[in-house]
Amino acid sequence: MIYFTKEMMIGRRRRGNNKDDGYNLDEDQDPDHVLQLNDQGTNKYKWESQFERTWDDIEEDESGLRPSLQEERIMRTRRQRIDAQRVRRGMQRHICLIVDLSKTLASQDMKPSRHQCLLNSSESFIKEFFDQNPISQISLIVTKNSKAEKLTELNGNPNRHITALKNTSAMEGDPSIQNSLEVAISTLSHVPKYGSREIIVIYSSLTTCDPGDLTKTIEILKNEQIRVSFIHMAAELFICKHISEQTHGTMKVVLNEEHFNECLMLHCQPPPTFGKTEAALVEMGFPQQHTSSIPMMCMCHEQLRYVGYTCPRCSSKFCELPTDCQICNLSLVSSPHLARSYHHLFQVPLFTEINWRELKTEISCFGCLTVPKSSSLFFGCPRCKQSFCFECDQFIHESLHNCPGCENNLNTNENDVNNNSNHSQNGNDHGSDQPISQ
Amino acid sequence: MDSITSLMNEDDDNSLLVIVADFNIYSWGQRAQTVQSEGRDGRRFPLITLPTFIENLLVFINAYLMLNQENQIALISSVIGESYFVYPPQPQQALTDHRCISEQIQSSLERINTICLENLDKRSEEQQQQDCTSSFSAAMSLALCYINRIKKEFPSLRARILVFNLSPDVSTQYIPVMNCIFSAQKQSIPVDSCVLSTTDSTFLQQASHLTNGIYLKPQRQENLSQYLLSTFLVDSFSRNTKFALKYDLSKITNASATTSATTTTTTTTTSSTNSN
Ligand SMILES: [Zn+2]
Ligand SMILES: [Zn+2]
Ligand SMILES: [Zn+2]
Ligand SMILES: [Zn+2]
Repeated sequence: MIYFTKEMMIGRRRRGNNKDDGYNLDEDQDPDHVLQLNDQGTNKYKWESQFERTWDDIEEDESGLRPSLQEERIMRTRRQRIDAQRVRRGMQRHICLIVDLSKTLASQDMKPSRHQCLLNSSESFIKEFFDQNPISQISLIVTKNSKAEKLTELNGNPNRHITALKNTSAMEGDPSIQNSLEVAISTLSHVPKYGSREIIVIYSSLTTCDPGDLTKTIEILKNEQIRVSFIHMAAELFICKHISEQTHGTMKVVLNEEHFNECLMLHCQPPPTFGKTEAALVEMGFPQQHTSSIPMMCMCHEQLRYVGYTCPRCSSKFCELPTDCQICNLSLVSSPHLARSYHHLFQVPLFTEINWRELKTEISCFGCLTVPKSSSLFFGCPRCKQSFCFECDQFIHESLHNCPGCENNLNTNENDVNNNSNHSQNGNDHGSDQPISQ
Repeated sequence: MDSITSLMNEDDDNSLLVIVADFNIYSWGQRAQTVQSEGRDGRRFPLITLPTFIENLLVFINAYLMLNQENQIALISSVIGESYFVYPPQPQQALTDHRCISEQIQSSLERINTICLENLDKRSEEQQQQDCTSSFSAAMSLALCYINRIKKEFPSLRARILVFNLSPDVSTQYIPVMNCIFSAQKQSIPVDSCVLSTTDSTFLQQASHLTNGIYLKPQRQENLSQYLLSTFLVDSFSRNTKFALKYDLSKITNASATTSATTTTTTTTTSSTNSN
């Protein structure tokens, strides 16, 4: 169902609404794919496969050998992002990342080991998370030897989390879901109501070692409006599924190393708010960096420093932003930080694939002027009808968060749709079924 | 000639410069009036006009391409409500020629020259005077998309963006512009800006500040090409004098003269008069 004219008019099918199993989005819809996905042998869990048939991943085309699944996999990740309906998203997120460091991490079904995979993926997740959610905070909790231990308090410094995780000993004893949830609850219950409260559990073991009744913990989680999401490295456990269902979270079972990464990265996007989250006007301070002639005590490290940010309300000094003022409890951020998280609210619509081989006219990428070659994929923006190459499509959705074509139409759009700015209508107009005409 | 280029390629210091130029005819037209009014009481220095700006820009582009044979350039024009590539041309018009590099540069120089002047005349007739805002965010987005692709082909390439701005900031573009700035910052692409209007642009101040670029609002616009040559010709890598010292002297005679000039940013340097 693709409509073409010189200006690339594209009809768009409504995407299925199955939010929860994002990984299977491709199978049941979009018959107009140009490229058939080849999934033999890859949709298995890692522990099910006996041999590593790496040579199967190589395919030959006219430009020589290339890893065949790589491109498709990237495509899937992209498609997995569920079309955002008009949802409210919490910009200030508070996350407890619970990591299972039990003896099961020694298992080598992931290469080189589950533990190494866990470290790599969490590191890239934490970096990407703070890049996309600069005014959010993470607290790291590990569980091993039937106990739970909080490694880092809620804060917004990625390096602190990463080094803390790397420096702990792993692969000891059994994990405890309940203990770690209790620690997370005590951390998150102080968090103000307008920020989202989330727990992400990366679980590896098939057992849990709990001191009491888990259902009571689930009740507390529900009352506190904490969302718990699980990523299991081997199998789906009933208790994990149950907790995540009860708390509006998600449950993912990892297929392989890349899928593990993708599952974690999905949590970079703020989840839609649920329950009766009050929309609150939040007081925020935008402190300026200040260098003083005499060193002054900072509130975060209690050390004497020259450079720092001073709270505009109480003039206490802090080393890094974003943070909460420990004296007067004001949220301190910098305005570029705040602007950096806007793109979650104003998203670029997903592009649809164009079957350029059947086009009468020559097309080229609007962003980089590339012309399609035999094996390349091209996409069209449903809003501005410009076409983009695969690379630009990825770049636009993952790094830039602007569609150059739509930015070009900024003025005409504003005239057509009365004073709806280009961005405020992003949320609802990319599910339309009609062909778009100019 | 060959020995010189091989010497330069040793360090693989080729770069891509994407120039975003504001050819918003409304802003240029408005300025034509202010030039006259200010000329009468003579308190301020005269502002640059569009033809002289294009001349200065071409001098700068030529000098940049002269600097290193591997240097690549792209020119994006942002006019009222639209931004488009001036160079490289749309692929439909592009010739597939396989001549030697120096000839190609020569012809691409001429092409920039003619395309730029032709398109400018053509476009300015079409424009209406109702909407008068430049689509700066679109131009920046295009620049970043283009850099992203070229970087896939040449991973060692150092890319930067140079913005010539005249029109006032549009507040509705704040979010897309910030998105562009963050994307540039993440990829460490410096955004240099040269503001030709009489007021500062907060967008560009932020952009240059966050990406470690240079923000320049020339006082004496009649000497624009000298500002350009002394400030924006060297890439961000060579601007850092610590790195410049590591190069051997034969390579940096030009660069060192210009980097020292950036600290003063005022008057003539020997290198710029040579290039003229
Ligand atoms: Zn401190
Ligand atoms: Zn305070
Ligand atoms: Zn492209
Ligand atoms: Zn678009």
